[in-house]
Amino acid sequence: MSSEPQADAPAPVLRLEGVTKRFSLNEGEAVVALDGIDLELCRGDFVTIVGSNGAGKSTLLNVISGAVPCDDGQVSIRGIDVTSWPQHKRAHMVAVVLQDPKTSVAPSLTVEENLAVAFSRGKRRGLHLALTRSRRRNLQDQVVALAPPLANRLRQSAGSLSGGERQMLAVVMATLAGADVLCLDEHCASLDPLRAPEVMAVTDAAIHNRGLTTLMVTHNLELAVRHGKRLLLMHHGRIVVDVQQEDKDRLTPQRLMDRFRTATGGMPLPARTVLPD
Amino acid sequence: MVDLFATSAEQGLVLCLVTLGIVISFRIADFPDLTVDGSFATGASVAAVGLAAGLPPLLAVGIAAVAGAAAGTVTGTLHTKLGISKILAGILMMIMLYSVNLRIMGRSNVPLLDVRTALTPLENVNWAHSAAFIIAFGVLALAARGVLDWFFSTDLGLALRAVGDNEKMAVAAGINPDSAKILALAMANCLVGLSGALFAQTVGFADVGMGIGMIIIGFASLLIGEAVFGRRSITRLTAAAVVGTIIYQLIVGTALRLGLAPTDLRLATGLMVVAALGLSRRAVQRRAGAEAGTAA
Repeated sequence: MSSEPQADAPAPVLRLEGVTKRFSLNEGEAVVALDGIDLELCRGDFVTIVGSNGAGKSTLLNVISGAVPCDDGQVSIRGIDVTSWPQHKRAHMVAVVLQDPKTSVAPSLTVEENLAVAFSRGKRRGLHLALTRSRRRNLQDQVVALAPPLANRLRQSAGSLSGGERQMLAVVMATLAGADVLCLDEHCASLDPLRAPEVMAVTDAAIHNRGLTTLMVTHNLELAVRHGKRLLLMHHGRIVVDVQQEDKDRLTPQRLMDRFRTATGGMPLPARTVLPD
Repeated sequence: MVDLFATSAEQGLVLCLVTLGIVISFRIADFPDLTVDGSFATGASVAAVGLAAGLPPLLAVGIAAVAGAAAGTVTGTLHTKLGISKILAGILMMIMLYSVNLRIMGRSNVPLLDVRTALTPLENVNWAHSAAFIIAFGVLALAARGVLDWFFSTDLGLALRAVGDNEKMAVAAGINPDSAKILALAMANCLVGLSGALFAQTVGFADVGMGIGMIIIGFASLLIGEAVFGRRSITRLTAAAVVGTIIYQLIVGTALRLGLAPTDLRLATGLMVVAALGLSRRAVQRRAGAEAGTAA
């Protein structure tokens, strides 16, 4: 990997060492989804991840969030080895926003109930009322600040929201309780071209406000280039290109395509990759 | 006529605890739990044996409720820790509890005729004693409903609802889904056990076959209640459970008076559920069809 050793570097918030994940097919065959990934992120880092289908992008996020256990290697957050922790136990450290608006929120709960569930992330859930007046006001303030379109819909069921509004809600929920790491798994991919930038703006604001350490998987090269301070290209379970801040500022989607082709020996990015006109 | 209403209200107010339990498992936790047939009889057995042994009536009823909760805990554990499917875990418990209940009672039936029960003080009330029963059971039913309404608006209750509604989201928010499901089933079967304990005292015996079909009776009651109140919120669901059970008992009481053979009761109830589910499915399809029509 390209990062030079730095003596006075701050302690990484997220550290992956030799993380490997195989998925077994039938007949004992296995696909290597992650092949010895090493990665370090410091507080406030914002990394975008692109790559071919099946490159292991989503698996990487799942291994970090704990949704999928890894076979080998170690995942640590804030210096704590969380490799064996199930997802719910790491949820106060890692927040996720998934691609499908259907799975990112609880549809029969109201918007504010969804927020209240997210608010108690990492806290003991006892017999206190979930929506006291003061907590309602607090949640309302956060929504007004981050996602104004949701502000007057707090008492509606989350199932009545559009896809874009649900993803906005999911972003607010993920960033509400101050997790250390935010994983965005193509969270704008299923939205129409008008809604996606709105959700991305809410995401940027949330990340910026809270100084979150973020990993964002996307198929949209434009998004990958425009957002974040660092870019990873994945292929066959490995990080094949790691573009750091200074370098990334000069990156264009076209140059990114070229670098991907060079790194993979002529593989083009998949057809569903979104290129600007 | 008055007699019919009184009996239906009395039975409905006792059995609505079962329906409230079904609200928790089927509707809130999304866990179609069939333990109910077993745990209802467990509640009845435990209470009857306790009362026959001379325990203070409220203590016997309390132990019966705990026994119900224990049964639900086992069902939840079978599913979450051993990966047995929800339906099968419930069926297994229902079957196993049949033997357990026989063990508890030592025989298939325990009479409570000359035993002091939790209801004995009410029988000594001078004015119409079925009114005393209805008031006592009504207070209990409303209290149970109130506790559930409150519980499901707390942080913990909301966590249970989140797991039932969207487990992925709940886990991502840091909720342990296994504990949530086990807690939900424990609560549900606690209510079922309590209902069984009270039911045994109203009819004057506990019988090992007492719970057979109780899941369908409770489910039919809930469907009736939901037809009145809908199911858009917890308060509507719990109201549906209480009112639906009373209406169901009224319907059954009327049908029996009109000549329905008691032996055909479960068939009739089952057909009622089938009809209700079939109709609601067709209504959903019609709505979907109408939406597709406007979109096109």
